[in-house]
Amino acid sequence: MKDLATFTIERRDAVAILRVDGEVDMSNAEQMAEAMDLAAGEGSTVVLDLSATTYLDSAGIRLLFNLAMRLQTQRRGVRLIVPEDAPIRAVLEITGVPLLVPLETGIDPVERVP
Amino acid sequence: MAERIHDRDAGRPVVQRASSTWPVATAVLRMVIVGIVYYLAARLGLRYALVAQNVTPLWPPTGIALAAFLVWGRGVWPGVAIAAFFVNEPITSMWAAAATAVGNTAAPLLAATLLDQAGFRHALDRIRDALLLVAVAVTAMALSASVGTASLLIAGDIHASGVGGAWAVWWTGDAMGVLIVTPVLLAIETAVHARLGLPSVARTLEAAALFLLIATVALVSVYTYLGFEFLLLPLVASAAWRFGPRGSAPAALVASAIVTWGVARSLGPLAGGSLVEQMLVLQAFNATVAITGLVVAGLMIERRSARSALERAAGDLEVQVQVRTAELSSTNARLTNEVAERREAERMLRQRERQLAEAQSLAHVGSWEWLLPQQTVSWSDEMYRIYGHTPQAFELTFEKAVEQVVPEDLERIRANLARTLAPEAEAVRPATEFRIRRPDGTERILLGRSTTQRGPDGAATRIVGTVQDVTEDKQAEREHRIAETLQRSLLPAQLPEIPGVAMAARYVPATRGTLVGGDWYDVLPLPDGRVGVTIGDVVGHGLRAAGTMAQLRLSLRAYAVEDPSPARVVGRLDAFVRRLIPSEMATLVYAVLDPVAGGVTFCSAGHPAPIVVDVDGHAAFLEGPPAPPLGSGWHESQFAEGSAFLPPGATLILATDGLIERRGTSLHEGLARLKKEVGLRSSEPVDAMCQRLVDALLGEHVDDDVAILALRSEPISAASVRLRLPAEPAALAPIRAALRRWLGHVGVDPLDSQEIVLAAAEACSNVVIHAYGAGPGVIDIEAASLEDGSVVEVTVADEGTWRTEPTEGGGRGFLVMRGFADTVWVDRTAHGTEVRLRRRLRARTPA
Repeated sequence: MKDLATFTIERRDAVAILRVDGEVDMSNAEQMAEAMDLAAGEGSTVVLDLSATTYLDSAGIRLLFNLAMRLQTQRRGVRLIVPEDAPIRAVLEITGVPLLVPLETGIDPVERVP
Repeated sequence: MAERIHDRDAGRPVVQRASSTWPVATAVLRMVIVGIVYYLAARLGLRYALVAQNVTPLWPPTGIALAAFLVWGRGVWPGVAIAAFFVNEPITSMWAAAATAVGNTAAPLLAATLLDQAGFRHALDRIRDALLLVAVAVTAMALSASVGTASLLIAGDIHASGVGGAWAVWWTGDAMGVLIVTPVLLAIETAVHARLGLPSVARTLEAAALFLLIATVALVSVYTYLGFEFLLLPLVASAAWRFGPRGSAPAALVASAIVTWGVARSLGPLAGGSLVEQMLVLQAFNATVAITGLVVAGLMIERRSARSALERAAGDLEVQVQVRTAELSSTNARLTNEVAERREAERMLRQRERQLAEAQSLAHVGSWEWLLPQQTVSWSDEMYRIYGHTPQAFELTFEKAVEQVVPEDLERIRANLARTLAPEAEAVRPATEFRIRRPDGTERILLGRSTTQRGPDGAATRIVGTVQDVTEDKQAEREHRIAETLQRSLLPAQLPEIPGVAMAARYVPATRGTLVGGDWYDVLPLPDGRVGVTIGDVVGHGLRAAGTMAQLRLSLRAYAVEDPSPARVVGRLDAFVRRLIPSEMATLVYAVLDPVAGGVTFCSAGHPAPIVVDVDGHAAFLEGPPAPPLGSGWHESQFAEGSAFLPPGATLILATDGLIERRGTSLHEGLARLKKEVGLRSSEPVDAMCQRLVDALLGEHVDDDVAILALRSEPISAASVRLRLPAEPAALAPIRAALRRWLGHVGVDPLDSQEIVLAAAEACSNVVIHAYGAGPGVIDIEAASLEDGSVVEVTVADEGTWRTEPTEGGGRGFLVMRGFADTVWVDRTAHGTEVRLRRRLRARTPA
C-alpha cells in the first residue's frame, strides 16, 4: 500500500494517456489535477484511463468536467476509458459525465479522435 | 524521780520528769534527804567546834542548805529547819535549839533569795558568780550568827564576854560552809545537768594525783610546823585551772577540811594563839583558799568560754570567709559566663545577619524600612542589588526608589502607597506585583509586601517591607504555561473512533518548573483502514521541546499516510531530524495496527517497548529490532520493524518513560511494575485502564511528562458502527475503508456497498469543506443495518456552522448522494448539521 492513487502518463505520438490507479477523493484531487495538467501539456489529445480507478467522488468528477471543457474549448480531444464493470461507472453516469464525454470501454485505437 | 517510757515508734527512751505527777512525794523526799544530809554534816561539823560544842569554824550544813535551796528550791526549808533543831537540841536547851534552827534556816534562805535575785549561775563559770557567792556568804551568814549567838547567850551556854568571839566563829563557820561546801554541791549539780560522761583515764589520774597532793600537803602542814599551808593555794589554784569549779571546789573543801580539823585538834602552825587569833588565821586561810579556787575557776571558765567564743568567732569568720569566697568565685564564674554568653550572642547575631543576607540573596528578597517622622529609608544589601545599585554609590531616598517603577505601574504603586499611608488602612497590605527598570535598562518583576506601624494618632510611623525579585519565576511560570498549552494543543483533542478499535490516552504534564513538553502521542487512521499509532518523547523540556515535538508529529503524519511500513516511516523521520533539526533528539515508537487481521507492526527508535496484554492478563513487551533514538546518525535503511499478533480483546499499550522511570528505582523495576499493573487491569475498559495506570504508577508530583496510549481490538457490531474522525481530507479514505469493512461484515453486496460508501463519503466531504471553515472539527458517522438487514442508514454529523446551505453549494456531491440514496435528510441545528442517507439494498448476498 502506498499513496491513495498513482498517476502515470504515457505518450503515444500526439496522444497523452493518463492512467489513474486507486482512489481519488479530495485528499488527492490536487495530485490528479497536476497530473491532468501534465498530460494536457504532453499531447493534443488526452486519454483518461480510469480502468484501474477504484473510487472516484465528486472532487474527481469536478476535475473531469474541468479538463473536458478546457480541452473541448480548445478543440482538442478528450476520452474517458471506463470498463462496463468499473465500480466508478455508476457515479459518472449519475453526475452526467457521459453527457459531455462518452464513456468508452476500451482504449484502442488511441488515434481515434472523437 | 524519773520514769522511763519507751517510745516504741522512735525506738529510743524518753525521760519524763515525774515531779509534776508526784509533787508532794518528791518534795517530802527531798526534805528528808536534805534533813538527813544536813544532820550528818552537822554532826561532823560539830566535831570541830571551837566554842561551846556548837560553834565550829567550818559549818558544812549551811553550805548544804544553801545548795539545796538553790537546786531544789526554797521549799525544802522544813527539812533544814527540823535537822537544825535536832542538831542543836542535844547540846542546848529546847527553845535555844529552836531559835538556832530558825536562824540556821533563815540565813541560807536569805542567801538563796539574794543569789537568785542577783542572777547567780550555779555553774560558777564567771568571776562575778564567785564574788556574788562570797558577798552573799559574808552578809547573809551574819543573820544565823546573830540568832545563834543570841540563843547561846540567852540559854547561858556562853558568857556575855564571849559573845564577840562566838559570833565571829559562827559567822565565819557558816560563811566558810557556804564558800567551801556549796560550790562542791553546785559543781555536782552542774555536772549532772550537763550530763557529762566519765572523764578520760588521764584526767581522772591527774585529778586523783592533784587531790592526793593537796591532802598530803594539808596533812604535812597540819602535823608539822613547817607552815606549808601556803603551798595549798597554788595547788587549789591549779585544780581550778585544770578542772574549773568542779576541781577547785572539792580541792578547797579538802584543803580547808584538813586544815580546819588540824586547828580544831590544835595541830599545826595555825593552831597557836587565842581562839580569836586561831579563828582569824583559819578563816583567812579558808577564805583565801575558797576565794582563790572560785575566782581562778571563774577566770579559767571565762577565759575558756572567751577562747571558745573566739574560736567560734574565728570559725564563723572562716565560714564567712569561705562563704564570701564562694560568693565571689560564683560571681566571678557568672561574670565569666556572662562574658562568654555575650560573646556567643554576638557571634550568633553576626551569623544570623550573615545567614539573613545569604537567605535574602538566595530568595532574591530585599528588605526595607521607612521611618516616617525622620524621613529615613534603609535597605538591605539585597534590596540594592535588586534595584541595580551598589550601597556605596547610591544615595537612597524613598522617592528615588519609586521613580524606578515603570510608567505603566507607577500610578498603581502611588495609589497603593497612598492607601498604605491612610490612617484607617490595615497594617498589612496585600502583596503587590510591579515592575522596575534598573539603571542599566533591564526590567525586573517584583513582588512587594509591607506592614505599617502607627502612632497613637493613627499616622504611619514606620513601614517595613520586603521586595522579592520574581522575574525568573514569572518567566519560568510563563514558559511552563506556554509549553503546556502548546503541548496540549498539539496532542489530539479527541481520539478518532474507529470500528473494531477501542482506544484511550492520557497526557500528564510535569508538575514542576519547565519540565513540561516533549511527550506526545498520535493516532492516525490510515487510508487502507489500518490504524497508525505513535508515542514519542523529545529529549529536553520546555518550549523548545514542545516545538520539536510539533514538527515531528506533523512529519510523522505526512510520512505515515504515504507509507504503510513503520520502519520506513521512522527511518524517514530520522532523516528529517538529522537534516532539518540536527540538534534535537527524540525517542519514539510507531506501530500500525490492523484491526481486521489482528496484526501489529512496529518500529522503535530508542523508545521503551510497547506492551501487549491479552484478556487473561498475560502481559508481554513487544521486543523488536533495536534502534537508537531519532537524530543519532543511523541511516534510514537501518531501521527495521517487528511484528506481533494482537488477539481479539488484547490491548496494546504505548507509554513514555515518565510512566516507567521514577526517582530511586531502576528502569528495570519500572518496567516490571508497569507489566504487573497492566496485567491486573486487562479486563477494564481502555479509558479506565489508562487512568488506573496513571494513578497507580505516578506519585503526587510528576517529575517528567507522561503520555500513555492504549488500543484494544474489539469485535465489530452487526447492528451498527460508529466512527468519529477529524474533519480533514485525510480522514476520508479511512472512513471509506471502515464503512466498507463493516458493510462487508454485515453481508451487503459489494455493488450496494460501493454506492452507499460513495454517498456517505460525499456527505463527509461536504463536512470537511463546509462545516468548520479553516478550523479543526470532527466528523461523526454512524451506519446502521435496519429492517432485518434490508435497509442501511448512514448518518453523517458535524458540530460546525455551514456558510452555505448544505443542499445548495453541494452541487455534484449532493447529486451523488441523491443518486445513490433512496432518501436524503438534512437536519441543520445550531449545534451542527446532520445528513441522513437511507438506502434499501438492491440485492443481498445469500447468507
